[in-house]
Amino acid sequence: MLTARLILEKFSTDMRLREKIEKPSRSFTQGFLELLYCAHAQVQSGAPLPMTDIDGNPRNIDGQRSASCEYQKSNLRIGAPAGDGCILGIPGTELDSPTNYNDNMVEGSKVGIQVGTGAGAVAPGDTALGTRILHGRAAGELEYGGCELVGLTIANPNGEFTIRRYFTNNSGGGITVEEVGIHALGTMYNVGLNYTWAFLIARDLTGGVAVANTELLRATYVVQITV
Amino acid sequence: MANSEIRANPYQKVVKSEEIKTLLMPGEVGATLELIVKDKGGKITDHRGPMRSESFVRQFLDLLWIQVYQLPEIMAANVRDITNTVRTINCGGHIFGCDGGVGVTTLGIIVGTGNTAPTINDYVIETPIAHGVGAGQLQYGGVTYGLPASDATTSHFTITRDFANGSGGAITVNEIGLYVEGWDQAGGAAYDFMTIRDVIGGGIPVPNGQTLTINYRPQAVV
Repeated sequence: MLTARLILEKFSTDMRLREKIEKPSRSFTQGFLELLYCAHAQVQSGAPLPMTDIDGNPRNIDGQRSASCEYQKSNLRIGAPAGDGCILGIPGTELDSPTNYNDNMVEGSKVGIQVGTGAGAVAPGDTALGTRILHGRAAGELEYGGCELVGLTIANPNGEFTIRRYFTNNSGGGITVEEVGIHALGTMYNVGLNYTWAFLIARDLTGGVAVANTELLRATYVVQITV
Repeated sequence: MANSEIRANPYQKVVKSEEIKTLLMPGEVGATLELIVKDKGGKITDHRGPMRSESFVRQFLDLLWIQVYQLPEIMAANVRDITNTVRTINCGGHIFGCDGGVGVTTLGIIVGTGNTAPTINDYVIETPIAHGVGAGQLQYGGVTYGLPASDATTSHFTITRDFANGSGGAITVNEIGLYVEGWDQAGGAAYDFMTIRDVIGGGIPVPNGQTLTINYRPQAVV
């Protein structure tokens, strides 16, 4: 069985811990199962799986292993650079590198752990946060750090790894985080013409964590399997 | 005694979401396991489950780690394959592929006769049942899938495989596993890894001339 714990910690500018909340994550969504399905069934680009991306657009996703996808295909990717740093979903090889780079890239802030202000109940079919907080320094925005993966450990009967991200409030005002989620990449392969989008795979409600101006929020998911 | 003539026909039907039982708790991602034995005429002679599949093993987490982290060739990670050899595996389109065809016993749902309780370090079925019509063998059908769907609480998809017994005698299946692929770019080769192993208490007998259908249904419950 796979479960996850969600940990939210709020720090002052000098990294003093001001608040900590730890609770079971309840909410892996259909997007996670869909991306696992694409991989297990080796869904081919000729008969892709229809999914809905984080912006509400219908997208076709495959999971095939052929050609350059043998080397690197970013379905399920969660690790991400900070802010506007971009991820190339299917790098390709020297023989069939994609030419449509812009369609094949996603900003790092849209991949990995996300935060929002929506407080609506979670449903398995959710495809986006209720109201995602954007990356930036303007009013209502938080600066997204990189989404890092650490601590893969196995000790019978358990195994776990950690996903975490820092969010810095330099917006000039307070922001209350009501929801946390995870975005993962899904891709569509074509020789010379590849596409990459972000999909919601988990969403949890926080109960409300107020992050004052200049404070940092660290959101952590500890993913665990138990035999 | 002559062996029975049996064919393993890939079988798939649409099951309504509301008909699929939820056995997991909120927040859990796992699988349910359903076992159905049918005679030559298609009559069900034994039906177990759906029951909780208990046992993701470490290779599931290893491969998930590689893919969510997107570890490339130069940072490939060690994963133990079903031959007990540690392979360096990188991210890519191979990971979790389990589309084993007819007769393939290294990919997809695999059955065995071992009954030792699973541990997280298991990397292979304890006593695999070979493909064939010889004594103690079952005929492996191709792996098929049911599309992802969700209801008010649960998302799921289905992995299915048939095992036909033309061996001339009864065979009791005690253990079930899922084998998937991973890719070693440096070596230019795919390898097979076990991600789930379940032991069925008391086993499920498959009489000669009958077919066992196994449904693994990965689920997430909110």
